[in-house]
Amino acid sequence: MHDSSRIEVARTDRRERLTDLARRYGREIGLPAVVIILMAIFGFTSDVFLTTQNLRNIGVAAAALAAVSFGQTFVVLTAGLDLSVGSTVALVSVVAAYGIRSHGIALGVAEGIFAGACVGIVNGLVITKLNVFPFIATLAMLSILSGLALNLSGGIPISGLPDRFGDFAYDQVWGLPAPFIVALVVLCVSHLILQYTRFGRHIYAVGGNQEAARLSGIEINRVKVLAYIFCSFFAAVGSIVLTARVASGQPTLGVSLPLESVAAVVLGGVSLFGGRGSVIGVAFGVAFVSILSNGLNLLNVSSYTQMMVIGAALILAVAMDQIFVRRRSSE
Amino acid sequence: MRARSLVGIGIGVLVAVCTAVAVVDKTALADTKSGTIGVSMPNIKGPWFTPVLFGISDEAKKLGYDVNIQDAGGYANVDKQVTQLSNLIVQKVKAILMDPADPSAFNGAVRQAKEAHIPILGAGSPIVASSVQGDGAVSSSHCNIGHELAKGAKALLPNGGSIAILAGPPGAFWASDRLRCFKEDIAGSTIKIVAEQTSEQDVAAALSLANDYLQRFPNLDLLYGADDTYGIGIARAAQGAGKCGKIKILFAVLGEQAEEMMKAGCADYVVAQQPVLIGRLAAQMADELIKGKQPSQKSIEVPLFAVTPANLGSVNKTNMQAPKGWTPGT
Repeated sequence: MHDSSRIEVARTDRRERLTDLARRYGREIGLPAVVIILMAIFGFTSDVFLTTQNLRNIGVAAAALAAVSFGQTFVVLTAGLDLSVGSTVALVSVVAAYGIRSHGIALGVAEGIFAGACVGIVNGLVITKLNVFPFIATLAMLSILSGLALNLSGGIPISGLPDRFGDFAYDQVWGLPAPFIVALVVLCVSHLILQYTRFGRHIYAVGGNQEAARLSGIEINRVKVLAYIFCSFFAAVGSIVLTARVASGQPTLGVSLPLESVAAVVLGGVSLFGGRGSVIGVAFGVAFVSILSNGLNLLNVSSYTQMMVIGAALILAVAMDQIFVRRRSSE
Repeated sequence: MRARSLVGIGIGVLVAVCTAVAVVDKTALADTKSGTIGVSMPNIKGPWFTPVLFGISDEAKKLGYDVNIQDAGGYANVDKQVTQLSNLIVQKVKAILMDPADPSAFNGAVRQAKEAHIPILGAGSPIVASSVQGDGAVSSSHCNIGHELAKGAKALLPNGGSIAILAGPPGAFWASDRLRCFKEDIAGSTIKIVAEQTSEQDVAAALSLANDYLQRFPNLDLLYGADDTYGIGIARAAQGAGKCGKIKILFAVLGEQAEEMMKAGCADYVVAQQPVLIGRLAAQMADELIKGKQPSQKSIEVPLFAVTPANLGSVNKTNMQAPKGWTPGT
């Protein structure tokens, strides 16, 4: 064989190997790569983007979205969806604020989180016992919870929370913002549950093939209800972080979270058809959404344009998911 | 394959747009003369925020500053506004002018600004945070607006009557302050409130609500709007029902559309603020603080005007409305 033909064969071989790698791990390495590119772009165009203070700001701003998105992951992995997370955040904010004012920080926070978990139970039961589609059930709950939060608060923010609670959002632990640490804890807990517990395996099984899961003896309804409880529980944790940040109970908090959390989950590689994805990927999805928002804010891009960019990113992520599913079914 | 190419093109376009926006903005912000004044608002649309921002932008330009306007996209996005304020602090702007969606949410962020030695002032709001004092403020008191609205209600209904209220966006402190002081003044009079609701700050939502009120209370005497977004919705509902002149319409802020509605006989009493003047004075106060001078007055209260069809033609609107077609960024 001539040298030139050998070189050509080697080149084709390398190209095929790269294509194969991209095909196998494209979804896993694609988003981290995009996040790094995005950071490089904003680092180049903004003098302050890579400063410690700004990175802390991103960490604080991302914390609540992260907690909500990790919870959303549980539900999406079962092929469900929770559009009520934004209103759950608002309701928990109001309940926790009243609780903190009346019973102190610890009990108030516990009351808020308990209220969040109750929302999850209702969502789960409506979907499994009344057979209402998750989209409709949680869309209706969004309206119910929003009205409940506004009714409880009389439509006005609940102020007068102790400074110690509000300071939490600005505290630092080992140089890291306290809300960011909370998000890291939620990430670790979610990862452990999904990867190393029987319940985690059941979630993947139910989302991957519900009928097969049923035949293998998994109690599908129980798994689904628990997934919605975890989702609302983590949304409540996110709400506590946000409530501390704004140092008041806000009945309209979290309006953009349903879209942003679904965007982070899908961008992070979790399939909307269920059964595939991980919270680590979702963490990168959260990083993408938060960095994009921060960078565009620093560059003075209006919030309306930001909404368009995040919407477009969501469509792209879902389109990629569809391509992946089609390819998998054709293989 | 074709779909994959489309997705690839889509990602490429998204990244290219971000890069282009970033580069264009960096070039724009690089032309700074005296530095940048940061502005943080709950939203930038509508007949209130547009003239405030015009006043700030025009005055800042005269004083040699660039303006970086951050828009949270609505009163509900209070957490976003807090984040945007933190971003302005990181950018080390020379001063920050803000109208907080809810002052109780901004104590921590305002403390951050103070630690960074960035003067922070209320523009359109008398305070920037509930328990941390700002460096100054230019506004009209929302409570006084409520008092003026009550004066209007009494003038329009000297013999008393029934009122339905479009109270403003849920959770907005300015709207609840106005209504609280309005109610204080009409308490004990023969004017009775028969309905009261909050709704989104949107003309269409206000129109629907006003229509419902007109259906439910056919003998209603007066409709109250928290500002002119609500006022215009009410006026259009009355126009559609053929009730202009039969039912009295009262609200705050005189934008262009409100003026048109008054000319058409569908608005009877408007408590007009001077948002352009508020913006200008706030920018001047920021300039003084940046230059290390103490402003002669730490808190300026800009007077209100009662506008009725009788004096509409003679009122000077230069300080009430932005020039036609002006939008933030132009």
